[in-house]
Amino acid sequence: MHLTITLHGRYKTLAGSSQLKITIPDNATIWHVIDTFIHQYPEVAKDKSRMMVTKNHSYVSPDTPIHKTDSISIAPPLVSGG
Amino acid sequence: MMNNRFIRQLTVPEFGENGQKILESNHVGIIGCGGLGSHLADFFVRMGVQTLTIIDDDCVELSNLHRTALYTEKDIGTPKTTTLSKHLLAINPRLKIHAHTTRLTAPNTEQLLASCNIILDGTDNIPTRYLVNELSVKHHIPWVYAGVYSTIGMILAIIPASGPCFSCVHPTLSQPSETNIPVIGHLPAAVAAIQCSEALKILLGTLSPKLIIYNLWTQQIDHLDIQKNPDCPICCKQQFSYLKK
Ligand SMILES: [Zn+2]
Repeated sequence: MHLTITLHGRYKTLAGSSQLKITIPDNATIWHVIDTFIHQYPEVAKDKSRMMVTKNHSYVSPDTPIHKTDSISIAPPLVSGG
Repeated sequence: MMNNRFIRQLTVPEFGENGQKILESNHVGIIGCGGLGSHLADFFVRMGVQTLTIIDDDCVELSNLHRTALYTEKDIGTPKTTTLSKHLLAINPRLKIHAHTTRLTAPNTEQLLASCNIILDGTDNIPTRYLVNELSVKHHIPWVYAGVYSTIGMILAIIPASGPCFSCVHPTLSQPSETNIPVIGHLPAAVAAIQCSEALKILLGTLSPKLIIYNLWTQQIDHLDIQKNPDCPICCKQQFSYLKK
């Protein structure tokens, strides 16, 4: 399926746009979105286990299945310095 | 004298006399007295907070001075809480300050923070934020998360009764392995200023919380709308694993 995902923070800066069109299998999970994003922008691979992905404005785990009508967004991990 | 002291912010329509009254009547807690925490304390005391709790177990180090408020070279080696208290009392000698030179842990969290009306995050680690989040949900105390990295700050106001909690936003975030994380010197002041605005709007009841991602270098600001997770173990199921540790 074709999906347009929303990017936030430095991911948006990296892609030069808040919208990224990706193609993933019809039975895809959030993992496919993450892997496709990393494949396109390998410099974000270090964030893989910590990036924040939402489906329809709620946090979801990477194993969550997705449907072509879902709204998916990816943001960098929450930062922790004080 | 008191009216003169705040005259320039009493005339700000978003804040006004009502905001001043609310600020002066609420007990503010700040966890961590480093880059974020020292600026938060400085802002809140200058703006009129009368009752403040500060918590930190560290001493002032030379490597803190590029990003903190109020500390000087003479303060190096002294506990941050006692030194910050001294500087804050010089700004307002009538301030009621509860300074705790200790690490926030499961056994002391409720005792130190449950009497606060709002909590501001100036910590430097993820587990403490999960602990504060549980306290917030259990005692219905709003708090404002913030973190900094390099030129980027993230801020989220958490009102447990109505919005997502920290665990709704990310339930299993691990502490990053990187130590001595990069932070440009003026970032904590900017992020603490945003955090302060979010806290004031919580107290005034005018906030719609969103996760804010701010890049101080590019001046880009991004807002993420994140909803409450109906399966959240903390705010929906009241399972407080950090408080029980
Ligand atoms: Zn929650």
